[in-house]
Amino acid sequence: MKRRVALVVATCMLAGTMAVPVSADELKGSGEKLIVGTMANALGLPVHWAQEKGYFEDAGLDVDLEIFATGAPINEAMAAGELDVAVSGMASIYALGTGMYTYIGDGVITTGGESIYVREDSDIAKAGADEDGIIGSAETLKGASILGPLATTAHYQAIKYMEHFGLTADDFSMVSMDYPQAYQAFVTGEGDLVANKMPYTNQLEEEGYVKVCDMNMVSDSPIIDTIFTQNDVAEERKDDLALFLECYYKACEDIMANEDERKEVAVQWYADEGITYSDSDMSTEVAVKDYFTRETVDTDENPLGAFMLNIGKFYVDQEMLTDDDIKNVENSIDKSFIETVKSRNAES
Amino acid sequence: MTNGKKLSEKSIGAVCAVVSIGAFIILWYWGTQATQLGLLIPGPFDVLKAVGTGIVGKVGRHSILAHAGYSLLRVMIGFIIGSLVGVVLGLLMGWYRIAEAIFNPLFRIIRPIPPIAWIPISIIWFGLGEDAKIFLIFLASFSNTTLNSMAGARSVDPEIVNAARMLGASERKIFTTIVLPASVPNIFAGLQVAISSSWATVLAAEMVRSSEGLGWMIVAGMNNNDMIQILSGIVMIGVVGYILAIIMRRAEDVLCRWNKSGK
Repeated sequence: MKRRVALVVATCMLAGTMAVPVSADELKGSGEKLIVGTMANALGLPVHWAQEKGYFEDAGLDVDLEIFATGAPINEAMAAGELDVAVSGMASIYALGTGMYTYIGDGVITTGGESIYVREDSDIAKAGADEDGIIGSAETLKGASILGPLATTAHYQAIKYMEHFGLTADDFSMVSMDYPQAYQAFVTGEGDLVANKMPYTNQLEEEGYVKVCDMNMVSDSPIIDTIFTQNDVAEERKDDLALFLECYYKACEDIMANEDERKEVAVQWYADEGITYSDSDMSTEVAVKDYFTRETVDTDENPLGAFMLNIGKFYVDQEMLTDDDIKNVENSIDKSFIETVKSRNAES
Repeated sequence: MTNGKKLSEKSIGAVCAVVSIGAFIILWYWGTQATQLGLLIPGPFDVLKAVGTGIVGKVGRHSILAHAGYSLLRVMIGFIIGSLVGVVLGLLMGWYRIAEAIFNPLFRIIRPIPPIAWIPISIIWFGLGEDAKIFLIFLASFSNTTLNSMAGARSVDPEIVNAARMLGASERKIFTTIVLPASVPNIFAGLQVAISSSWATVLAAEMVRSSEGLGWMIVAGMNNNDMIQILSGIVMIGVVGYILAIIMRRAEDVLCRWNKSGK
């Protein structure tokens, strides 16, 4: 008898929950710890901002922020199950290719600061700029060596730069080394060109090297970073993730609207994490790093995850990923969280 | 050796140390002032000034001394655990054939793997906290002490052992009263290398998510091409490493006095 009563009660409860779907404005933070891995740079700034402003707390979230130096250890920590959410850069493509994660949001937009430089007295610089403002020529670039890390946006940019002059990846050599080493090797006379990113590009600029192009001159779209989560977290903590994204994009809106405060908060946070930023570094960052808002994220022009898929195809061409990996990346994109955030924003 | 002679040798040693360090600093200064090296790295006085500023002020959230303290704590925990396991395992492998047959093949596989290669596995096994960092330092310490303890146990004079056996000493008695004391000089040599290796591994250990420590200072500096911060971290690692090596040597002098005086 007791069992029958329990069954009836359970059935009624289940019917009740099915009859009244959870509306977007009824999200509730679980209060369970949500561990987020990111880096102390423009990428992670909205997460830090949201935490400092108490957005997570107000939303009923208990967010624990773990700071990493690069994307690779974030991938390792995700694989180890040590993180629930990653707000990370291009290295995310390797994680997403495994099929173990769900792509839930687009991160920071990089419109510049990733550039290629040559020496002032080189033939490439002397070739001058074409109608697009890109310096060089097919003749001077053929056989050139470019310093920079393989299978990154630097490599992507180098190939796109060469393609601009009708050359292919076979027409130049990419000398693989990490960003700091590439910078140091170049300034000591190695390589013909260097493909690098901030803050090294700032330093190359200050030291009088010639910028031949930057990413937005040779690429169809800016670089867009990633917010992804464990598949089980995506299944079991939908409300937490939607609220996390809501806080994240709310912070992005604040950052975009308050330049002075953005500079102040960022410089202080970076300093706390051992990264010294000059006023000039910060001004460059403000100029080249934009953020999505709840309105601009996932639009027809910029569908969620489009950049990651685009660059994923480049990785397949470079044999760094397989077609199956890219299918996993494609399947990982889940727009439902962003849709919830956007609908709540529209309602409010 | 007379006290006067000892004192004179010590003085010469101290003078030589000052001269060699001074020559290195002068060479560094000259390199940064007179060559292209100056474009890449700051001079020694800029770095020393930054170390001084970091001691009084902060690098990140802590002073340099606090960073050194965090690193030292990790190193000491890893070193102590690694050394204890290494000494026990090394002695067992050096003295008991069966222990050697079981553990030596695995040890030989693990030994050449650099600590940095263990980072992904350490994160999977131990997470992002202190355990992963201590594990990496443990590995650095463990290999050296195991190897030297094993060599120590193997180098025991067989005539002494046979004499003990002839006099009716049990295997346990032989191990504790002959093998163990005879291995101490080798064990200390291993500990000496282990403390340096452990300290040198602090950079790899703090590459696992970290927000403090001298290794973290270097990693954070690398991300921002902050050569002064990188070199400040390097200088502090060198200084603390040097102090640790001196402490270990002094400990060996005191604890193995019987061995040295016999020479």
